[in-house]
Amino acid sequence: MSSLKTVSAVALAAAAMLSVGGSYAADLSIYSDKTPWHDGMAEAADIASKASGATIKLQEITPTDKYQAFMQTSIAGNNVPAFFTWWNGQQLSDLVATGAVADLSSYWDQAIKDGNFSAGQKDLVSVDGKPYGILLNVANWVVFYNTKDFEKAGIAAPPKTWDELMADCDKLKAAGFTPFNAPASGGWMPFIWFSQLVLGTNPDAFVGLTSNKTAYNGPEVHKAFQIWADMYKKGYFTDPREQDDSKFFADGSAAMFLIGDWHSGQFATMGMKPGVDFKTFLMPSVTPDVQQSVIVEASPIVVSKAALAANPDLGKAIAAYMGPDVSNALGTKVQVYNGNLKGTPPNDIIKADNELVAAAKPRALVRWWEAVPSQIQGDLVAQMGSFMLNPTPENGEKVMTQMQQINADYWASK
Amino acid sequence: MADTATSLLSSALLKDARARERRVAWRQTRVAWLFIAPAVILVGVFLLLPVLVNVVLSFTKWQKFTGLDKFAGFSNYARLFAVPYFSEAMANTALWVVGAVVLPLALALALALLLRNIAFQETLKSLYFLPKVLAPTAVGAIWYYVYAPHGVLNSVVSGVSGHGFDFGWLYDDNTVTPSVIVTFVWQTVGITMVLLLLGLAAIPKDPIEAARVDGASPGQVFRHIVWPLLLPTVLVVTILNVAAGFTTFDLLWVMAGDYPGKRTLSLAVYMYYESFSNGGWAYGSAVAVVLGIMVIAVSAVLAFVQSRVEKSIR
Repeated sequence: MSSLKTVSAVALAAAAMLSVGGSYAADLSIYSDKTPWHDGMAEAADIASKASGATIKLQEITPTDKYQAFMQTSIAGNNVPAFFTWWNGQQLSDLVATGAVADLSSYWDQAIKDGNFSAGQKDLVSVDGKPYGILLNVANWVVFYNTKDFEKAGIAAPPKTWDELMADCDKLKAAGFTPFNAPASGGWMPFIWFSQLVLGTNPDAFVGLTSNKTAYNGPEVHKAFQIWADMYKKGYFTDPREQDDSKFFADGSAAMFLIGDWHSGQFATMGMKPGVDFKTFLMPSVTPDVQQSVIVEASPIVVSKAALAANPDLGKAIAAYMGPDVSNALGTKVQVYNGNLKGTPPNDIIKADNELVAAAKPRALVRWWEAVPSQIQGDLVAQMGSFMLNPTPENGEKVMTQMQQINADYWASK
Repeated sequence: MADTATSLLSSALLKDARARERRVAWRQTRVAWLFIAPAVILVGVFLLLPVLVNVVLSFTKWQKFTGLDKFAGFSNYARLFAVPYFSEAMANTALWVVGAVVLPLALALALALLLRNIAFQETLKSLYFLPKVLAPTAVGAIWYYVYAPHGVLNSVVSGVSGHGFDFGWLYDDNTVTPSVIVTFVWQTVGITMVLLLLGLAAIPKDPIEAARVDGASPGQVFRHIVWPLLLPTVLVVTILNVAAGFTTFDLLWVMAGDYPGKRTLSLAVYMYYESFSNGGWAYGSAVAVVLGIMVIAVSAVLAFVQSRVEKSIR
């Protein structure tokens, strides 16, 4: 009989442990897959904790697909973490549709009133006019260039038109450099040049790609693929099979790298001095009469509606996350800028990019990755990657057909 | 006799004796259950319950955040045959199963026979077994650099041929699966060899000696005596490798993570990709159910063959 009692006690203890485990994710935690930003995220959590009186712990899960899977199962199981990082665009719309995340309108109104953020920045994390995210990172997509490579190739100033850019590519090739670092790693990078060439020739078509108004095998995409294949043929891109996405740019063998300016911190850690060893310029449109566009990448932190309702003090943490101290902590620790107007851009490159964008007034576009339905995101990127591995016009035709098939199947199932 | 003895007892005594017997039996059953309860609970909670939940999930519309509470009928199963990916993953899995069974078995058998009669056999056995103690992800990471464009294999080819060679073994449709199968064989051949050596050691010496005395050649001895007696072990190894071939995931995911067509490299990869990368939890569950049924069916056939072989030996 005593044995049975022991077994029962063990079973009860196990049940108690399971129930504790069940509530763990709902504790005051901020979940993130952005492990390279650990130090900045941890300090931001400390600042928010002090402001709210709560203890907000940073929990990290990587890689991204595992993180997304964790969040999807948590939300489906009605066990939403208090704070977690997410993506804007379609990804945010899908999340908002679950009703799990809080409308942050009142916090944004206050932040705009206090001069921390602008109404335009609010739009980056809004769905149907309501903001659902705190800005964690706002990055412009620019072309980084290696100043020494440019100097050796006899390029005095960065190009302002597509023709100038192509002429500079030839000069760089002649000087022994590969013009562009173009990796296909990480499960997402193949979309970079695909997006750029579509938006550089027809930004409306680029926007239409994400809402089924433009076909992936339509004339606009054909034109982009022709340019892409031609650039590969001329040897303008590095080997897409390299796993270290910054290696060829950091070692100087590739002179340019089209990427979000949050990468400047990474180049700095690889020994390149921002503003000295590398600078940036805005990518010119391919077609001269098309307005210049710039991709604006915004990473939001979202807040659980249930956690906020249960713990009103979280509001103080939200306000702290939207304040300049968190912005400066992110900048100082990990060279990431969340766009806070009272915050200080973390380095000269990001400061210069903001000035470039302010001067050129390009059309701001949401990144393809966030804008496209996430259910077909990976499949389409895989197709783009297969083109990069075999960048012939014939393979381009095949890839475009398959992409359109994936796209059409998805929209037909809606 | 029993009737006579019973008839001597009063009904009250008999009732009492039977009640006592039942109490003892119940006490013994209770003690027995106490001992097996941990195993039953663990298997039930961590094996059977997840399988059951997975089957239930495959009949829902759960995709990404929503649909967990919506019944989908057999639509997830119907979709398996409506899209090309499932059949592609199936074809690659079939290639994997054949590669995972035939190659390790053939190589391991050759090694087992060879190592029985040579010097330093214990050292060599340990060396061949060594890859098995490594985690498959570590093996995948190591072999990734063997096959990398500027990796070991291409460097050797470049050195031998005198020309630069940077073929992407893990990026080409025709070479990606065979390349990973080679890695699997490298890791598996040692354990397969050890199992076959145990089987060989269990074969009685007498019939072999008798055959030799009767003038049988080594080939005849192997074909007519060693192979039939080794067959039960071969079948056990085959069942293990078939299951491994069907469920191969880690090596493929680590080594071919950047291969654009990785989704269909095997059914296990397809299941993971649909669930974790695309958020199609219900559809991924349907793939898992079909994969599970296939593994169970093939293993059952092999187990049946094994029992027939064992009976025929007896």
